[in-house]
Amino acid sequence: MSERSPQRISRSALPYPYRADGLVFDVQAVLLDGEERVDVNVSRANRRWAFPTDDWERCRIVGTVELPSSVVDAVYPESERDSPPGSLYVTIRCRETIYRDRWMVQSETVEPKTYEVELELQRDGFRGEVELKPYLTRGAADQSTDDGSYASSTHARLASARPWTMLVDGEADADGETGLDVRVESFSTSPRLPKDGLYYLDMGDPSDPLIVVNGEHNRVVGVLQSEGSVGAEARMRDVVFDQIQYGVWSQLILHAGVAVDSTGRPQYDWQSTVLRIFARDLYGIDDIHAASRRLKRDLKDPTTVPEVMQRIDRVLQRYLRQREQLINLMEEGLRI
Amino acid sequence: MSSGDVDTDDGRLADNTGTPLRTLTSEGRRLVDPAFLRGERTYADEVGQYVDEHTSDVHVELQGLRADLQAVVDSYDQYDSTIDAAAAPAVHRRLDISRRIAADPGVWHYLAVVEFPEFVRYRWEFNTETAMREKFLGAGTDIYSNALHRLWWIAELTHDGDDYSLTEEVLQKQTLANKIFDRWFARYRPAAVACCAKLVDESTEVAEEVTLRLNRVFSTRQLEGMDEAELGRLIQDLVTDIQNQGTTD
Repeated sequence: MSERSPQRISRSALPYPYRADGLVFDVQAVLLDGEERVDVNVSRANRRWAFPTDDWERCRIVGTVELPSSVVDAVYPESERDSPPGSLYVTIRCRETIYRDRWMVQSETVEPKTYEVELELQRDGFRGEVELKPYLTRGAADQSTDDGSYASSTHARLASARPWTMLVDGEADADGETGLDVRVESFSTSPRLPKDGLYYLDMGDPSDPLIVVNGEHNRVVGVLQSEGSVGAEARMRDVVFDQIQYGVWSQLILHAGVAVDSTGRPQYDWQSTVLRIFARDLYGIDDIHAASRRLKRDLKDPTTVPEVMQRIDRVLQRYLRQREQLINLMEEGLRI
Repeated sequence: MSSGDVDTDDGRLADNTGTPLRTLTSEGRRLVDPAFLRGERTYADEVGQYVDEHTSDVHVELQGLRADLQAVVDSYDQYDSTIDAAAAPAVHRRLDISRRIAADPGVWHYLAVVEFPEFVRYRWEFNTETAMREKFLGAGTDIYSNALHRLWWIAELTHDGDDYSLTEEVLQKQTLANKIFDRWFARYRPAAVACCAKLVDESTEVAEEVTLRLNRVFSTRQLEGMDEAELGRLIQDLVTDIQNQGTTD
């Protein structure tokens, strides 16, 4: 069954019928302090929007959640389908502000139809990404209808919708740039830097890694600071820079991997960026959080560490285009 | 310390009625080296230039918090974990900030490194650089990192208006607090409150088993669908099951 199917069934996770994308959630308008200042139409494909301004206090989100009759038929026993016991609500989650809550749309019993949703959020409660995801959960259990084929526990998850994400502080860095600082320092005079090193990844502040290049290697620093785009020096710069990048990325992937929590998310923004660039390629998995969890698991197990290092080596060679850079150096720089 | 909004030489703020909240810059964070972590040096002169005013323009009661934390230090032995119970209500009351502001790590870095490093060192013994660095420079989504951030967030998730009795009860038992707030379901306030209320008198073993079983429960049931009363009943049922198993084993 296609991953994109709106009726995807997750039988592997739950021991009863469940429609992961069975509900249809749409956001039609976003009002900031009563004014329509967000064009959600441009965000519909990605199901995420960034606010165009910081100048707001209250955000009203207007949309719909559709509960199709096919979902009711699939997740409730026949005896309950005329008046299905259940609750329909939108969960609101913001990882940065340690916020989990819900906006109730319909409680006690539900019916197949399109429900209007209008929820209001205060800016003071949120930062970064806020996920809005509707769920249909079971109402009071009816033992007489429990033949083991359907969910019977109250609050059992029956169906959900693809979420929408709002970015309270604008779009996160999504172009693969980590925003890492590079600084040139004299290694021999600093007790924290390795005296004979060419470079050092300073993780002293784990939220803000810093690449430090040894300023005592004048020729290397000169090459790294060259600005040309053709010729031997430019090609040599690319290769030297790649050599440093290789070591730095390797360490960053390891740091980001071990920081992943049980939801597949790390602690810091730079770690998210590193995982966004590499995690999926490491395992050939589309779900970034699943790939991140796999990386964490592999790094924790000594028997899988050699294999994961091989995976990292493979993706880094591809990412840094080492083969092409070396050929460029040989052909354009060394003329061999 | 003198009254009024006065910047002192060491970058700290003097106030009586509330002073602007500040953040430590990334350059300032780099000053937190092994010597600082061990308590062998302070940043009396350097740190002022590495501090920014918070963009929110919010004011907090740093002077009052300083007095409150000093009173705690005067009343408890060094490294006594129950310091947390005494300090958390003051941290939360005096730092009357929104969750949005509390989610800014720079705020907690500033408070721990610049304003209250002595309190952090009084509460937390130096074991390793990594562990101590977390107490000063942790924050973000990990409740168990920065020394002040964790107190504020646990109070935020467990207080009821000006009533911090549940906050104090759970923080009296460090292991219990760890078991509860280490779990993601405790980020849902009704779950945090129900867990603390129902588990505060239970043994560490029971609390650990309950939180493990709750994780399993929430793999099929949707946490946000449940209110505090329902969660309380669920937790009580789990406690009873575990105790019954214990008596029959």
